[in-house]
Formats: sequence, C-alpha cells, structure tokens
Amino acid sequence: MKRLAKWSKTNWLVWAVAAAYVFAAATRPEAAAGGGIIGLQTFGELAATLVTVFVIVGLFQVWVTDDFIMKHLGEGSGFRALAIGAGVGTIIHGPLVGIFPLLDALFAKGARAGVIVAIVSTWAIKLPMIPLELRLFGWQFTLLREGLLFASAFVMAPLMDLALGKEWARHHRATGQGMAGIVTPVRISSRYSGSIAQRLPTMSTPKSLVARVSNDRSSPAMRRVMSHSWSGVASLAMMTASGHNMDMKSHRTR
Amino acid sequence: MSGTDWAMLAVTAAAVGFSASRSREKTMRALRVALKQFLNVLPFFIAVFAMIGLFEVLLTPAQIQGWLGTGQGVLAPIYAAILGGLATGPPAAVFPLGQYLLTQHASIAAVATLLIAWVAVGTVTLPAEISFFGARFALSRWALALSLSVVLGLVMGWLL
Repeated sequence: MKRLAKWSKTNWLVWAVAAAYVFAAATRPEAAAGGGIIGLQTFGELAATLVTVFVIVGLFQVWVTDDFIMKHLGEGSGFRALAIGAGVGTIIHGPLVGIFPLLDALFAKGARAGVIVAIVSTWAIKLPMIPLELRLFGWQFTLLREGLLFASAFVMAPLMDLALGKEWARHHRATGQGMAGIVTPVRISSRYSGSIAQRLPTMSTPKSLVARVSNDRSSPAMRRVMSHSWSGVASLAMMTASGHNMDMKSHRTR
Repeated sequence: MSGTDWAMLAVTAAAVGFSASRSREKTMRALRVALKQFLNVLPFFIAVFAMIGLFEVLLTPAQIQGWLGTGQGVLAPIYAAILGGLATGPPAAVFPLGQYLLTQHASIAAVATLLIAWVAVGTVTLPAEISFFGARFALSRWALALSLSVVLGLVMGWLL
C-alpha cells in the first residue's frame, strides 16, 4: 500500500490518463480507441530513440562518477577549470533532490550561492536526452536551446547573488540552517541511484555527511572554482583568456 | 525507422563498443542501469503517449493554437511555464509532448518554455530544497528559473 502510494506519486500521470481514458470510453468510445492507437504509433516511432537515450543514461551513470569529475577538474587551471566547473552541472545526473546533499556540502565548504545556482542551472541540460530532442525538434532547435541553457547559468548566478545579498551566505553557513533538513537527504539518497548519493551514508549525522562529501570534493582545483566570487571568476576568466598567468589564490574570498 | 534513427543507433552502438573496450564489467553494469531506468520510467512514458493520443483525438489544432499559439504572444510561454513548472516527471517524457504541441501549432516560444520549465523549475522539490538551503534561496531560485524559462522561450521563438 505504501509502495503503491510512492509509485503513484512519481507516476501521477498514469492515474490521470487512465481516468481520462475511462471517461472518454464511457462518453466517446471511438475517441478513446483512436487515441490509444495514435499513442501506440507515437511510441513505436520513438522506440529506437528511447533505446539510444537510456543506453546513454546507463553509460553516463557508470562512467561519470565523482572521481571522474574530480580527476578532470584537477587537470586544468584558470579558464579550463572554470569551464569544466560550469560543465559539472551538465553531466551530473539523477533527480534534482538527489544532488542537494552534494550542493549543500559544497556550500558548507564555502561555495558561493551563485556557483550552486550555476550547477543547478546547467543541471537542466540533460546530455543523454539530446538524441531524443534532435530526433523530435532538429539540430537548430536543439543546439540553440542547449546553448541558451548553458549560457543562462552565467546569468542566473549573478542574479541569485543579487537576490540573496552578501550577508545571506555567511548567515546561512553560520546558522547551519541547511543541515536542519538532514531527515530529507537520508530519505532521498536511498532512492537516488546516481553515483554521488551512493557515496553518502544512508544513516548519518550532519557532520559526517558534510565531512564525507567535502573530503571527496576537496581537491585544490574544485575548491578554487567553488570559492570564487562571480566577479572574481569573471575577471579571472578574462585575464586567463588574454594570456595572463596568475595566481588564483589572490582571488580567494574566504 | 528514419535515417536519423539508424545514425543514432550506430553512434550508441559505437559508444557501447568503446565502453566495452575500456571495461567490459562497467559496460554490462551500464546496460543493466539502462534497462532498470527504462522500466522505471516506462509507466510514465506510456501515460504521456496515451495522453498525446487522447489529445490528438479530442483537441483540435485550433484549440491548442488558441492556448499556446503565436497569437497569444507572451501569454503562451507563460501558460507553458506554469504547466511545465507544476508538472513533474522524467525529463525525457516532456519531449514527445512538446513535439506534439508544436505540430498542433503551439508557438516555438511556448514549447521551448515548456521543455525548460519541466526540468529547471521543480515546484514539487521545493520543500526539499527549502530544507537544505532555506526558503530565501529556494524561492529565489524557483522564481528566477520560472522567469528564465519564459525569457529563454521568447528568445528561442524570436530566433527561430
């Protein structure tokens, strides 16, 4: 019963559509039958693409692990690290609630609110879904939409910094408000199948949760990317692009 | 099966082959994950396709155009943002729905907004987000994501 309730919560549409079909069958049977046939045809047309999408999802889950992200973050510096940092959100997989514990740990570690938002924004880009989008909407639409979504991370981040104000981040960290929600991540992470939550302890104190994740994320490059203010990051990117060799530490905000 | 389908299957097969050459064990795990995830979202997918079928029979293109068409201007993407922001489901499920709406003369702006809002807004996950980051962060992000989906939709409609 409990499992059915949980299933229904994710699959609410199944009940809604079933009810609609029952209603349609009672009032206009030929419409219900016709609708079902069209639905089946549409599904059939997309079957090959769906195979593609889910195989790629599987490959992503297996290959794009925390270690993978860390390794590639560690490689570069300057603009490269920044670009890869923004790309983190693009390749992170799983539901949004599943990455909250990770983001919160990053936040506790000193990441700016804007950077968290940048990750959440590019998280909306679903790389494995691109074949499906290409198939249905074509190259132009797909490239433009994904490009705009990626660019939007750089708009969202400063806007969020603006909306929250400078004091907010410090206050949030000081009160430890985020970790009040520890009951939630425990419940969620057991449901989340991605690599990040798998590493989180299913039962843990807030402290150990932060420690676990932030230890994972404590490579110098990651810390650099995460702890920069956006203006710092922007000027850094510009200087790196114009060939200046510079010490990122000078831009540390904390 | 169109040419695009074959091309994508070929690329996927190549990716699986490459993955297998790096690690057979990981590739098998990837395929198992793929199957499991697919079975997980299958009920929702079937519901989406059944819904599209029913819409196709019961709603006329004119009705959809009246709601989400270019004639509605800025209102169309706003409706789409509300629709996509409130609904939740697997990211992949919104694409067939969007394409259906597009063929029924919904505006590009509305469809692009729907696709973006569906993944980016996350109204249902708001309580979880509030418990992690506080109401101020979560609500600001929510509001920004919602407006951004409309803005990006309008930009897409304007460019395409």
